[in-house]
Amino acid sequence: MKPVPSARSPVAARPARAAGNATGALGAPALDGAPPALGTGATTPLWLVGLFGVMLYWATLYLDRNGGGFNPLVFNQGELLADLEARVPRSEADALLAQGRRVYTVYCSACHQPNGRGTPNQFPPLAGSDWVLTEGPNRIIRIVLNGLQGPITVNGNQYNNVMLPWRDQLSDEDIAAVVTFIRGNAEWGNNAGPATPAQVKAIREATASRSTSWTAQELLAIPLKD
Amino acid sequence: MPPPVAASLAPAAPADLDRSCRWPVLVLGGLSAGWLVFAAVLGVLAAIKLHAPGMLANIEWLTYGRVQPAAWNALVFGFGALAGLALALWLMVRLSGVPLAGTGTILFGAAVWQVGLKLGVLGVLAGDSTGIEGLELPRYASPLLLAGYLLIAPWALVVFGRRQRRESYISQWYLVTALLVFPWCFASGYVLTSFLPLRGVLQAAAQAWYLQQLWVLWFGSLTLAALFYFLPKLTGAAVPSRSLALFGFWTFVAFGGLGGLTRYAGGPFPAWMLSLAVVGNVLTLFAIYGVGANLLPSLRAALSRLSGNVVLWFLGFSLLAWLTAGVLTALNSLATVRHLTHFTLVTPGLDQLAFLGGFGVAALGGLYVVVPCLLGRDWPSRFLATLHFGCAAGAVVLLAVAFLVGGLVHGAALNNTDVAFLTVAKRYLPFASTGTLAQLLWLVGSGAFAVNFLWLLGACARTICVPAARALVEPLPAEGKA
Repeated sequence: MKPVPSARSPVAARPARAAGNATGALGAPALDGAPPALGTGATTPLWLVGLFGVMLYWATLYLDRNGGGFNPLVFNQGELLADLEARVPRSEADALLAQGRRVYTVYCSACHQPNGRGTPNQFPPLAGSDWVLTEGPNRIIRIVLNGLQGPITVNGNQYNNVMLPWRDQLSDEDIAAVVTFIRGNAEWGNNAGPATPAQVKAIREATASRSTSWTAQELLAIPLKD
Repeated sequence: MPPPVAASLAPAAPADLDRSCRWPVLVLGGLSAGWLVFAAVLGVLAAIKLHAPGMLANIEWLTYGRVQPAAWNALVFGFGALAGLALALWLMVRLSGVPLAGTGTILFGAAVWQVGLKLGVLGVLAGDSTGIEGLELPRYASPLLLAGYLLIAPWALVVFGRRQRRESYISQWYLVTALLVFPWCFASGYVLTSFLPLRGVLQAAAQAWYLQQLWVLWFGSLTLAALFYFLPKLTGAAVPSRSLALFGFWTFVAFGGLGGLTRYAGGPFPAWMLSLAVVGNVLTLFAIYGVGANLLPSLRAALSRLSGNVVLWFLGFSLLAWLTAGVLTALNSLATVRHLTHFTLVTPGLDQLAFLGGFGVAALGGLYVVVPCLLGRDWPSRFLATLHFGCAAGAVVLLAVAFLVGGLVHGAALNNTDVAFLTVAKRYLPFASTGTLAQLLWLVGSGAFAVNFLWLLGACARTICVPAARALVEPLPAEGKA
């Protein structure tokens, strides 16, 4: 920004006089009563106005991205209320569902698929499955703990394959979470009740001596509900 | 807002203007000088305790938790606010060309402020502090300060309303801003934390907002008012662009007060508060550019004459400190930098650079100009003023560098999980002791200013008192003849 000494402004002539005045002990010139000289010739440069516009635009973008929609509940920059609600469960059942979704993605979705429909003739579906949507989770907890082997009929279709046991990999809470997630998954159309870590613990202890996988025949002998 | 008076009305002569505001400005300036020295003494004590906590630890009144806030309040509300009000009154009278009215009320207001602040600082030393940083004054003291302010400041606005020049000058815009901001932010800050306290994190948010208004809109406006008047007057160079000054002023007012919450970045606050603060700090860069582009040319024009003019050193230094602090504050609000600097020495370092270096040095430079005008007598010692400048500038540079570098070291160590907390604390010690050195320098400079001031007042008193006393003692020549 260069000062533009303008012929229109009378101020350009003043400096020499002020500086030439007698100076005080500290070397400062004596001040007259006039206000300081102010140039009116120079205008605000156009690039500055342009840059200001760009930065205002940046400011709105920044606020939009990081302001959480001005919602007092959003504390993390970059989140919106919807992200917050997805991340933070509202109740204990919601917390189990969120944990179950993680467990399912890691351990189950490779065979049963992310949409829970399995693979025709190879891996049975979980969405809408008559083995999943039972009155209680007794059988499905046993399947997750010890695995399953041999022929099984799901929704009228025959499958003959092997499911691995997860007894050593997953904790009681993990299994309760994933069973709750599978049984109660509204996106799949499932609406059966949850499983609790205590139920898993009881079954784990009751079947501690078992080293082989279940067969469909054996499972049908287990009561649906305690 | 067009002034109601015709432009042909002539402004009063400077000598008449100075006479009208002599007592209020001198009393406010004198009180501020006293507080400056008192605050500097307490400041040294507080700084020492940061690296030698055993010193005077057995005296309850001088423990760190009491001495530090007492020093802060004495400096900010004793020196800062009173010197700021003195300059505001003088500048407003000068620029408006109207004599000051209400001098009696102003002097009464100064007394009320003085009593309130004494009560407050003693209360803090006695253990009545509210414990909220920047708002420590106990409940029996803070209303007195507000009352004192309301008896003083409106008279400057009255003068502005009666101004004899059609076009207002830049300093007047900043003065009106400052005069209106202070009661608003001071009252809300104290009401929301002491009288009707907000709950939870909102209290800290209100405190951060209050500190931002106080630092930027109150002391920042006063600094700019002083710089925009004294720098062009002393150098004789014109301020190049009125339109740029207007642009700078409005961006300053619009965005300057928004940046408070970066102080607590990373703390538990709603995301919009921090985002707005970041945006505010970055957009304030436009105001800083406006000030720099308008005032740096006058400083450059005066480079050859700089060596002889001590007052100009003060104002030039203040301009550079204020600009640096503003740019660093904007930088510090960016997420990558903040990650390293938050909750470290950088925050107090930037505060000190803007307050002591920007406002403090400008206000002192202003007093060096104003006091001789009012007393009609020049400063007795150029050496003391030079010493004052050397000490004050040295103190500010030392403090800022130590705290900024210390803050970065401190922040890097805090972010490193391999470094134990005690090690982090030990790395901080050399910077804290440098801070003490800076406070000592500031104390020496303040002492030089106070001695010079007292010396000047003493000389004035002598010229008034000695002839009067002599007239009492010596018999009148006429009587002797009769």
